[in-house]
Amino acid sequence: MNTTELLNALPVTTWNHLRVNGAPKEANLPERPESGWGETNTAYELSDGVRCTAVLPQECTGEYSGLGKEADLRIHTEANFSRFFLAEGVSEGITYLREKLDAQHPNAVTHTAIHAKSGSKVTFVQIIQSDPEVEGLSASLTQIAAEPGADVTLVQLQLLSGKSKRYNGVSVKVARDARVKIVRAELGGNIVVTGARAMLGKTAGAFDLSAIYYGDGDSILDFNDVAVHTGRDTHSEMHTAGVLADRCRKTLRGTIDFRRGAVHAVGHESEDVLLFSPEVRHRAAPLILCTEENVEGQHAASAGRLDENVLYYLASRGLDPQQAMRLMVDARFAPVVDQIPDKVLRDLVRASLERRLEHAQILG
Amino acid sequence: MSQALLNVRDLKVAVEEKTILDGLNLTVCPGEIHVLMGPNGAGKSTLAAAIMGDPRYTIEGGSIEFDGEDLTDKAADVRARKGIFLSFQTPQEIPGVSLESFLRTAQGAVQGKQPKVMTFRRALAEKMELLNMDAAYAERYLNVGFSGGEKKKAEILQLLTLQPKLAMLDETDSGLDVDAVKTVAEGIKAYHNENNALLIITHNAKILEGLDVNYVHVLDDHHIVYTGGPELVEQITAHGFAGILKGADEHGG
Ligand SMILES: Nc1ncnc2c1ncn2[C@@H]1O[C@H](COP(=O)(O)OP(=O)(O)OP(=O)(O)O)[C@@H](O)[C@H]1O
Ligand SMILES: [Mg+2]
Repeated sequence: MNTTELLNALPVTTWNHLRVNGAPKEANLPERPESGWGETNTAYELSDGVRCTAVLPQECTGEYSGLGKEADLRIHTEANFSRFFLAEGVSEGITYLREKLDAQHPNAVTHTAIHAKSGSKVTFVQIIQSDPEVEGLSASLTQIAAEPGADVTLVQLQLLSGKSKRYNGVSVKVARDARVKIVRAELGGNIVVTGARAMLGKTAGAFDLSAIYYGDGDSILDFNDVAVHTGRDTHSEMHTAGVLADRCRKTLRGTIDFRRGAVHAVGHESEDVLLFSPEVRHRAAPLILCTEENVEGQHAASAGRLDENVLYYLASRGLDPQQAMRLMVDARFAPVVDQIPDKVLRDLVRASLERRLEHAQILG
Repeated sequence: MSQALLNVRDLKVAVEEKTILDGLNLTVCPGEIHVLMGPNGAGKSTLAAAIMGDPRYTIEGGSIEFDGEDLTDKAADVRARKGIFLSFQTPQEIPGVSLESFLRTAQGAVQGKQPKVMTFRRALAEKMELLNMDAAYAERYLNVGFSGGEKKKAEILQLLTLQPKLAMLDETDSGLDVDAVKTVAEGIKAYHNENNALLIITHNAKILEGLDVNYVHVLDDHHIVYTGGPELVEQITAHGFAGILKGADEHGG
């Protein structure tokens, strides 16, 4: 099947001159590979209060992810691993979804649905890893429905090799007084296309996205995060921190769409980027759409190099340039890494970052 | 006479193509306390920056020898690991890095191995108590939202943690209230011993109370124009630089 729709498309195509309307062609979702499949590279562990269901819950469908309808449909139909979860009651545990690409099984297309019943509280962690030299493909669609009062946390940790492709679509439906929170780390891959889209259709629903990314080499990073507000008193927070090195090309679209009915809705988004090289291409397309007037929307963006005064200060305390750089990257990512609810995983992420930064260079 | 710790010879320093220091000589031996005074804009901070290795200052001539090694062309981090420390006139704010983790990283860098968490914490708590710092500050981002005085105390906390061989304090007392100056002076006393040395830049005698100052230098006209004993501090705070500078001129600088 061929995709005709733009991947990771901006909800309103007014930015043509900046070429940020959608992910670049080179980043298109590839044809489904003939081989290299097998469920051995995917696994899951359930926490209390969570069980699997055989059929895709209706509640989770009907909306689409930031990747777009066509990409969602392709991942849905081409998935080699589909799991649908039902959450009831309050669970302090964590449900783990693990994906590990290796030379024999470099490909994984996964479809996950999470139906959180009214008043439930659950945490899901997706860990996507690969062996160092694998040229893998990881495509995933995660569909979340949070019923009234439910509280869902989804942690996505992508630590793929620098030769892998990664597609990550998340679609979120938030009911009255429910909250969905995504903690997302995209730290590997040479093509990374990620888009989370939340529908805040009911009163006082909330969506929270805390994201970090690291891009180096000649990689392409493309993000498309959207919060659509139609319910009263709905709230969205989407905040991303990133580091770009070498010749990495990155685009981040962040849209807060206040539609009619979203009275007193509040939406904030921000992106903070650290640039290690002048050859990096960094594009940002923050967009706030208002058809409802009684709302508060705000975006903030900053991009820059490491402050030389700070570097000198760190040097005066004995840190060599590599240590100083690591400390500053850690500092930037810490607020997100600290939200990972498992020390083993936090250390895994830090170790992965450490390895990436061993090769990193700051260029003037 | 013991071997010099710091030996600055005929130093010429420029910033943005403007010569600030020229023909500057200074020798500091282990166990000594030197005080550096001089009018605003004379180049005191510039000297400290040049010794620390601030890349914005160009060393156009002369040499900086430390602990028997020529460090003139070495980067700041190398100098810091050799044992040079500077308490800054305006310390940097570093969001995202807690005071504690910063100090632990710095100590690891200077000593070549990361200190154990529990031992480090205990030692840190003791030092913070000595400096009258609220223990909660260990968790706060380095210098972010710290008051002027709190930043200076955090610098002295770093001094006590890193235990350098040479500590340069650039107006660490400015902006401190009376009690805080006393506390900082206590911190300096706790640091000082016969194996390390201090170069204290100040406009104020208070911070020197209880310290055995060996030499007082006056910097003006690009170099050190006068060197005397501790009595000079009183003289300058009472009568200003004019008398001394005039005398220095008569002696031919
Ligand atoms: N980064 C810089 N860029 C431009 N000029 C500088 C810079 N640093 C210092 N200078 C200049 O060099 C001279 C000496 O400055 P310095 O800060 O060393 O003086 P100081 O003796 O420490 O003064 P104060 O007592 O006011 O702290 C001044 O004229 C100052 O303007
Ligand atoms: Mg000064």
